[in-house]
Parts: sequence; C-alpha cells; structure tokens
Amino acid sequence: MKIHPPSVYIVDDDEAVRSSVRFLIRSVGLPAQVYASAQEFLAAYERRDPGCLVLDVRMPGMSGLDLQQELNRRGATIPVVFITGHGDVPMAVEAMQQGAFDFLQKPFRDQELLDRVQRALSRDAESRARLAARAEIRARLATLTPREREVMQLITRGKSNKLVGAELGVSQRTVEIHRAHVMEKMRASSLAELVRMVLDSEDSTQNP
Amino acid sequence: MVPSRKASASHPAAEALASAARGLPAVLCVQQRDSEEIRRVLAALQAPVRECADGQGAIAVARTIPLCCAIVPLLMPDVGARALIGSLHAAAPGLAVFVVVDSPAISEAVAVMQSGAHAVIDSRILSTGLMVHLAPLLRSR
Repeated sequence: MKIHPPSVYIVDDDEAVRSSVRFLIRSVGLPAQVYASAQEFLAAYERRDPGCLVLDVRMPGMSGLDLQQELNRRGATIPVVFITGHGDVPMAVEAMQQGAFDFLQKPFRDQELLDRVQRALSRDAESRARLAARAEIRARLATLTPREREVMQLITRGKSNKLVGAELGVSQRTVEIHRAHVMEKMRASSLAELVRMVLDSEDSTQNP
Repeated sequence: MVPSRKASASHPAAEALASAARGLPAVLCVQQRDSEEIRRVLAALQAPVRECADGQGAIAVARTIPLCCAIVPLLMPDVGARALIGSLHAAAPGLAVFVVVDSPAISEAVAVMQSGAHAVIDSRILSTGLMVHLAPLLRSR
C-alpha cells in the first residue's frame, strides 16, 4: 500500500480560483491537486491519503457541504477548509457543525489561506498519528490470550495480584506470570502506561 | 420571508416540542440584553430555565445540576463566550452551548464555533434561531 505525502486538495468549479490557489499552495512547497467538482474529487480520493481539503461551498451538482457530508459518511477525517464568496453565518455554522476545520470568505489574503492550510495539515498529521497509535495498541491487545486479557482487565482496575488470583481461582504466582506477559506483549513500562493504553483502546472502539 | 422575532405558544415548532420538552434538564441562560425574549421562547417550548448573572455563575450551575444546554452572550461581565465554553465543557462534558451574537461576521461566528459552540445565533433573528437550533436538541433528549 503506497502512502502519499500530505497534499492539499483543491475543489472549486471556478478554474481561475483552482489555478490561483494551486499556485499559492505550491509557492510554499506543498503539493496541491485540483478538482473541478466534488464528484471528480470523490472518484480520485483515497481515505488513507494524508492532507487537507480546500473546498468551495457553492458548486453545480454536489455542493461543498454535500461533499463534506459524504466524506463524513465514509468516515474520512480529512480537515476541510471551506472557501466561499457567497457565505453567510448560518452556512458557516452549518459547515462547522458538520465538522469543518475552518471557513473562509472570499476575497481573502494569501497568508490567511496558507495559515489555515498549515493548521489543517497539522491537525491531519496529529489525527493520523493518534489513529496509528490506537491501531498499534489494538494489534498488541490481539496478541493476548483470553486469560492474559482477564488479568489485564483486573489489574488495570487497581486490583492486586492476590485479589486477581482469588477472583480467577489461580495462584498469586500464576497471576504474576500472566502479568509479566501482559506487560511485555503490550510493551508497557508501568501499570499507569498500561491503564492509558486500555482506556485509549476503549475510547477508540467508541470513537474509531 | 422575514422571520418573526417573537415566539408564542401557538408557534408550530413550539407546539410540537412542548410535550417532548417536559421533564428535560434545565436550559442554562446567562443574563443578557435579550433575556426577556429568550425566556419567552423557552416558555413556549416549556423548557425549564436556570438563569445566572455571569460566566462564573454559569460554571457553578453546570457543576451542580444536569443541563439540557446553555445560552450565553458573546460578552459577559467576567469572561468571553469562547473561554466560557471550555470551562462549561470541563464542568459538563458534551453540553451544547449556544452563543448569541449581535450581527456576527462570518469570521467571528467561525471562531466561536471553533471554540466548541453548538451554534451561533444572530440576535437579530433570536427567536427563530433558538427554535431552529433548540428543536432538534429537545427532540433528541
């Protein structure tokens, strides 16, 4: 699977806007790709590709807000910076409620857009790093045996080896061995770190 | 169509929501210039209201009783709405906070939304704005 470097995806039906924004983005050394419609972008975009989206609100066919909804439906977390020449407050509020990263009214200063794009790219990198870390924790959890999972659940709730042994009907020494395996497989250097991992994995199942 | 500034018990949305709103946790309102109009809308929705004078009062209430949502002005005597939203969310995670703003610029509305507001409501169309944003919230709770 090939992962591309972060890119700025520009979707606008106005060719002049596409060209000028692409020129601006490339002028600071960032890759930029342009699309004339939401459909064209959807056909080309891979969810795993990092970057951010600079999106016009009003376009023929699928609007920018429609595209954002479709991306939400597909579980895409790419940050969206809306640009519009015909925006109003209710439209901006709706876009933000749907999870837009920012909303910028045309005409804007070049630096305003660049600042927002840079922040959006940082947000995307953080989000992807967090998701990758969670995936790594889930992969480690998958290596635990059922008994090791039971031990892990009990020790991360603050129970001592002795209490865990009593609860599971095994000796304290057996619990110690399972516990050591858990710490090794999870690559946890302390109980506190293990607790954080368990909490994070539980959170990720609720907010994947 | 010019939206009505006043809500009444005969407002269709109010009638539809009145029964659903019964038994809800209170709507927290920080006192503001438009408090009277907000009271009328909430009365029409039969939503219980808990009022307070400022941001600190709002945080204290949010820490003590369950709330349906909060309606706050952009500026308060002791704190701005953007800072208050963070404190309210710390006290009551997930609380929907509506910020009432006088003739907001888009950039202002976006900044408030980025602070975690549920919606920005333009004071010029306060009743309609409250109805539009409160209706789905009340229905879902």
